Amino acid sequence: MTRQILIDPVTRIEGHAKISIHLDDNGDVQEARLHVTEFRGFERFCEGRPFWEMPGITARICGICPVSHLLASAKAGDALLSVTIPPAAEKLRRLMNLGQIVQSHALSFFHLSAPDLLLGFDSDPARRNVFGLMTADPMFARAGIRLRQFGQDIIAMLGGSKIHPAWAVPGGVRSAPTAAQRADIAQRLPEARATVLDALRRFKTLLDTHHDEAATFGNFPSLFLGLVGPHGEWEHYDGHLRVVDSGGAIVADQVEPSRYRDIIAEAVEPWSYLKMPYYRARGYPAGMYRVGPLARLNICTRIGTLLADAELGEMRQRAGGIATSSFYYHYARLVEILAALERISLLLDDPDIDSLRLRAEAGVNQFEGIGVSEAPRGTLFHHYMVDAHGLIQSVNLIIATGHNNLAMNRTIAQIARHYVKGDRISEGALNRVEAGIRAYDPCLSCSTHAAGTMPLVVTLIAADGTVLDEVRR
Amino acid sequence: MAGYSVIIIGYGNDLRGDDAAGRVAAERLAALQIPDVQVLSEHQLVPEHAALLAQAHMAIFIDADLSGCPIVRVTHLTPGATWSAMGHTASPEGLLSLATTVYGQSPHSWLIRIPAVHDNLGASLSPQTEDGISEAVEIVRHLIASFR
Repeated sequence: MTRQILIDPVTRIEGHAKISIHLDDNGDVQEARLHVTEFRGFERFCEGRPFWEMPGITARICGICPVSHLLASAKAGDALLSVTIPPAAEKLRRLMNLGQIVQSHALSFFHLSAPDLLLGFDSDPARRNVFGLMTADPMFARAGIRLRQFGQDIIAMLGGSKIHPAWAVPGGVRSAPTAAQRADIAQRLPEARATVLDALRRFKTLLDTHHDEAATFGNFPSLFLGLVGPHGEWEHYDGHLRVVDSGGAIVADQVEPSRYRDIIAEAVEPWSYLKMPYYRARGYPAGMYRVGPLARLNICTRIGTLLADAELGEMRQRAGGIATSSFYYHYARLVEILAALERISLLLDDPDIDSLRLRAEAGVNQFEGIGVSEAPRGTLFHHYMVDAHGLIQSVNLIIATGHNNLAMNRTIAQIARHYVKGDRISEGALNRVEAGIRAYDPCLSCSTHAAGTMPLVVTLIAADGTVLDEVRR
Repeated sequence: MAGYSVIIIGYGNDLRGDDAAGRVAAERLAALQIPDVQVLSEHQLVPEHAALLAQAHMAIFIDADLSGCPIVRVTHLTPGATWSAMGHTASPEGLLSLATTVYGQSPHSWLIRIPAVHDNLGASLSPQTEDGISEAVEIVRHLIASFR
C-alpha cells in the first residue's frame, strides 16, 4: 500500500499549503504534490464593480505584491479606455514596479532564503532564521533589511502607502514625486547597490559548495515564459511574451499579451485549487513552463544595463547557458535587484518624469481589456470584460505563482526522491523540500492573514489510484 | 515618524468581512487624535514595522480573532523566540524580536484580538465584531491612559 508523508504547512511562504509525498511499496518516493487548499473566489467578487475601482481593489488581494496587481489592473483599464498613457506615467509606473522588485526580492532572499543558504540546511532549526543570520553576520542581515526598506520607500514615495497604493489608475497615474523625494532615493542607491553586489558575491561562493542542491532543487528541462522588449531585452512592465525552451531555443516570440490564451491553457487537478497553466502547443503536462526572475533572465537577450549584464553573463556561464535549476532563482533574484537599481537610477534622471501630464482621459471604448506586467514572482495577467457603463462582467486573473505550479510540484518530487529515505523525513530533508518551494517565492493565498480558517483536505492514495481516505477540516 | 511614545497597529484584510476589525479599530482610534500616538491601519505586519516599534515605548497590535472566542482578548506580548513561522507576513512577537535584534530595543506591547465571525470576501462587519471593535477602542484608550 502506498504510504504518504504530509508536511503541513509550508513555513515561510505566504498563505497555507500542504505537501504530500507519496511512497511506493518499496518506500521510495513515487510522487509529491503541493496542495493549495484555499479558494480565492476573488474574480467573482469583482463582478459588477466599475473597472475604475479595480486597481484599488485588486491591489488589496495581497499584501505582498499589491503593486503588481495595481499595475496589471491599471493596464487592463488603459486597454478598456483604448488610450496610450503619457510617457511620464509609464515611466513612473515602471519606477514603482522596480521598487516592488527590489523590496520583494530582498524579502525573499535576505529574510526567507538566506538563513537556509548561509547558515546551512542542516543547521539548528531554532537558529536557521533571520535572527540566526543576524547573530552570524549582523552587517549583512541589516544591509538586507535596509535594501528591502529602500524598495518600499520608492513605492511609498510614489503611492503614499507601502502596502496598497491606489496610485496607478486607468489612463495613467495620480501624481509624480517631488525633486527632493527623487534626490533622497538617488542618494541611497550606492548603498543598495553595494548590498546586492555583496550578496551576489556570497551566493556565487555558495554555489561552489551546494552542488547537490543546485542539481536537485528543480533541475529539469522546462519552458520559460515572460515579457521581453522589442529586441528581446529584459522587461518588467510591458513588451511582448516570449517562450524559450531549456536549450535556449525560442519557441514563441513577440506574442501580443492580449493573445495570451493562444499560447497558455489552464488545467485543473482535483487536489489543488491552484490551476495548472501550461504552454498550449505542447499540451498538458508537457507544456510545463516557469516564470519569474529565472525565466526572465533565461528568455532575455540582455538586460540593458552595465553591471546587470555582466552578472547575467557570469550566471549563464556558471549554468552552462540556460539555467534549468530552480536553485538559480535566488541568483536571478539578486541579478534582477541589481538591474532594477540601475534602471531606477536612469529613471530618476529622466526629464520625462517632470511632466505634469500624467493621465489620459477617456471613457469606455472597449469592452475587453487585458493588462500584463511582470510581478516579482512572474508574469501577471488581468483580463476584464465590462459593459457599456464600465461595470465588470467577468474577470480572469492568472497569477505568477499559478504559472509555476507544475514546476513546483516537480521540484518537490525531485528533492524528495533525493533526500527523503524510508518513512521518515529528517530535518534536513524537510527543510530542503520547503526550501525548494521557497525558491519560487510563492504567494499562494494572497488574501487573509488569519490562520486556521483555510479548508484542509488530506488524502491517502493507494498505488492503484484508489483514495483510501479523505479528511476534511 | 520618530518619537511617538505609543504606536498602534491595526491589521487585516479590509475586503474580507470581520478580518478588517483591527483596521477599523485603528481608524477609529486615529480619528481621536490622541497626542503622541501613531496609528497605522495595515493589511499585514511587515519587517519595516520593527523600525517604528523600536522607537516607541508602548505598542498595541489589534487583530481579528477567527478562533471562535466570543470575547475581546488582551494579551501582553514578549518577543518571539524564533522566526520560523514568519513568511512574507510577520507576527507581533516576531516583529518585537526583530526590533530587539536589529535596533536593540522593543516596546512594552499588547495584542488585542477582536472576535470575528466570518472573513467572506466583500462582506460587511458582523454585529458581534462591531461590538468588539467598540470595546477594543475603549480598551486601547484605557491602556494608553494607564501607561502614562
